[in-house]
Amino acid sequence: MRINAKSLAAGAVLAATAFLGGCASSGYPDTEERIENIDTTIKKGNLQGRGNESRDQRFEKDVSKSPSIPAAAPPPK
Amino acid sequence: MKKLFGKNLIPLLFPVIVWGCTALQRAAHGDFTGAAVEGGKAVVGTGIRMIEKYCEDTDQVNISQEYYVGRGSAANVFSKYKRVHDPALERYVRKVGETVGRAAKSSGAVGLDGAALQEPYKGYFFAVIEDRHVNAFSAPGGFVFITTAALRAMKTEDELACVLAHEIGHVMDRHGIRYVLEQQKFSIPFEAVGEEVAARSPELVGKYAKQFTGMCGELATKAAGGLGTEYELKADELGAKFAANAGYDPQGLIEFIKRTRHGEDLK
Repeated sequence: MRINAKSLAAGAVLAATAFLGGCASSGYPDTEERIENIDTTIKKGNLQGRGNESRDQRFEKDVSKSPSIPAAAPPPK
Repeated sequence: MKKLFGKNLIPLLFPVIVWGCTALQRAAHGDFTGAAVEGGKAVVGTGIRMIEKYCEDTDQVNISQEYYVGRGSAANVFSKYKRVHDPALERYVRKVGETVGRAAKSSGAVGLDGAALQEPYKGYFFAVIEDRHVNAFSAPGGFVFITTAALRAMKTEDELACVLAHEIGHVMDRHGIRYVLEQQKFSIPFEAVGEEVAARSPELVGKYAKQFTGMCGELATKAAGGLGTEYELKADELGAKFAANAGYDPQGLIEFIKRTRHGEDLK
């Protein structure tokens, strides 16, 4: 079996296609693009944190009704 | 052909969507056999009730229907990931998440194509899942998941708030349901959810339960791997706005992305 330049080139093209296809299948954009997009949003809206103030204003929703926290078991009799 | 397939198949699937409700509760407790049985009970109605009006865009999908789709997907997530049962940790994550969720309402932000943002039908459901990959994702209707590796990788509460805000952005702009409708995998009819099921057909149970599971699995997998460039960039934008409106530093999102950009598995 002889491997000539044409079949090598074809193999390389296939491999590259598969590789690029795999990369493209990610559902996330390029990291630099994401960072730039967020940075633009922050600058455009002049967005900034307010330090500890946010922690003091936490919203304590009715915890007992949240589906993520099961109801407490009744005390043993 | 693809469109035709979706149009014809999914009306039959709709009763199965109801299944997600009970199935999630069961699956979350590890009762997958019971979940399948509940799915079967719902599916038996498919042969007797053909619903003629289907949805082609998000305006036609009500938040209740979206919620049930999300529950089905969430059940799938719990079948793949172990949930961390740490009440203190979950309470903390939820507290930060709820804070951002409340701030999102008053942020003034708008969704893709200027769409109004929508709050989830029954509020948010935050869960911490065990996984060595840094990740967070959401399902339609307010289901938000964050991995233990992601929590370990975070240095500040701002970063947690930003990541949750990103997921809340997906939820409020309805990216999951948009994706599903785009794919023509199914359409959601207007008929009420949870109608009485009158006939029983074990053959249909197996057939459509499997398809429904496949659809929810695909949505859950897609969400975990990123919904696509347009949706991810929009969620980043919304996340930064929501977090800042809650008082958190939106730079936290950039910091977190930079630190985890190479996708290292953080032990």
